[in-house]
Amino acid sequence: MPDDTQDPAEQSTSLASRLRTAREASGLTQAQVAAELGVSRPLLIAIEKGTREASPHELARLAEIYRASLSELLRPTPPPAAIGARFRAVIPAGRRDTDDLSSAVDELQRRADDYLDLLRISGTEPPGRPEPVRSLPALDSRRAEDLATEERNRLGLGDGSIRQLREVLEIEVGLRVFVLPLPSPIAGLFVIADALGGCVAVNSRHPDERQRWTLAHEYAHYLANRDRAEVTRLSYLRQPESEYFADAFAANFLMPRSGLSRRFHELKRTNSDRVTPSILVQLAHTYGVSLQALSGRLEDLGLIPAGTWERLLERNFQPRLAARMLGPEQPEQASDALPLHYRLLAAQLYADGDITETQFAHYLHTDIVGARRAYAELTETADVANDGSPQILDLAEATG
Amino acid sequence: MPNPPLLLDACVTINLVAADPVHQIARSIGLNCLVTRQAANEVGHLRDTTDGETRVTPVNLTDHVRTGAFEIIDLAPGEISLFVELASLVDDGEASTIAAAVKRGIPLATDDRKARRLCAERGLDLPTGTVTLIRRYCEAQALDHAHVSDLLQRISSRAGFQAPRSDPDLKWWNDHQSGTSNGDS
Repeated sequence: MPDDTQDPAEQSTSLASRLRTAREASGLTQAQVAAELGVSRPLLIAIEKGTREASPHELARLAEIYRASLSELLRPTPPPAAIGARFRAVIPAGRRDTDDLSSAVDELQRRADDYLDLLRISGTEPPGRPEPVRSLPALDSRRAEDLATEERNRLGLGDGSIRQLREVLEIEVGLRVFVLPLPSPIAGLFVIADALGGCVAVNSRHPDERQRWTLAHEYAHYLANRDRAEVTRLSYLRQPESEYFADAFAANFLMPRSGLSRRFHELKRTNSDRVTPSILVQLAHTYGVSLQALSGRLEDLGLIPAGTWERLLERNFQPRLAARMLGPEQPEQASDALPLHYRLLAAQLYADGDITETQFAHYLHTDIVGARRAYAELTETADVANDGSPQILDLAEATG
Repeated sequence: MPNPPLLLDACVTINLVAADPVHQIARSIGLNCLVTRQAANEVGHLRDTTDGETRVTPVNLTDHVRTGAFEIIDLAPGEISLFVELASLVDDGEASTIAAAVKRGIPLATDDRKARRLCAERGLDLPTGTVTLIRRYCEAQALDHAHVSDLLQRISSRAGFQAPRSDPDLKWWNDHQSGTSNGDS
């Protein structure tokens, strides 16, 4: 239900903040916008500070100039600008990918803004029970393994593979996972956004297995050092301690020592006690990780000789081809750009008539027809009707 | 005498474009279909499937304006205040369409539940919707069941449209979609 109880002063601050953000996103200066709007620059500055109210005509014109949606500019709460500010502190200026990275951060901020707006309209809280940050005496591999085991136990995951990793982290832990196109050398981003909690962006350009690794890696940042924004790169000249720790956590969380060792020995036993590439392919598939990550983990556990992965590569071993030839399908990975809870929340609000179809499309970052197709997918159940066609859940009727 | 005007929101507009040929529909039902610039910007794309592959088909409303199917309108200065007020409740397309309908005193077409509620709150007559417009066209053209079925199928598959449960012509839509109509429902 829309929140009509917003304080007018807060709404005025929010509008001023959103107008400033929209102008910055459009790349226009205050002088350029003032000229377009036909007002003086000091007057525009006053509008952006909230000390002078914009008239309806000025608002409509500003939305046109910024090519922005007026209804989004009029949201009654300010945008989560802290996300950008936190990343600015950790993104070094002058790097080749700084501009692309800043654009990706802006995109993450927009998604977080949309999520907060959906929560505001619905009057609900995001899922998950936030865990306190862990105070660790050192960020080393032993602590990483202890923390991974502790988390697996807390979440009731046992020592098997985690097929629905994203759902577990979104629903149980309360991370907000967005899959966005990031610059290729960037694996992921992590930041704490007030009111929304831990937000993770995973690079949609990377393979599913790498995305799972990145998710587990960013989860470590959430648990151990969430006070600062993190940019996870694929490679470092010198890997920071926190990144080494997060990788060690990811290895232990995705491939726990006991379960992996047991499966490895079982497969080896049934293969006349030989370790062949097919065993590695099988295990990588089971755990939803890359062959390189699996080999590294087995080497660390002393189950295969050090340097096995390099030797396989020297022999022109092609992991993707091998995986296809040996049969196992790729791991199931929800690669939707937006969290499932976010999408279902938007669908429910649309079904209840609390947002329009076009607003629903905007929240899903698609067009009207894309939103209709997404709604049909979200409301299709695993059940079938008597004629064999898929059952469609009517959200409005089901909750009516 | 010119045809009476009808304001269309973006959702109805894309349904009519999917029905193809949209100019025949507008002419046949004797309406001057108006689309606000804000709604026109929200129309988006159709999806066309060939040999199991779905592709995105851009909608160029300017082409349809040229054929006389639609007229794109800008809000008058006296309509801007209401547009801004409504834009805090609904998207820009619905806000501009409802603002124009209220200020100009002309009817509008929308299937959107929230937009229809807002129209009622603003004292507008009950809006018409996609299904009623299509039914009027089919009846005016005396289309047979097969042609109606093809038309509805195009709207469903290209625009992803499903008739709202509360639509007064839902039974007509379902009967023709499922192929059970005897033409008199």
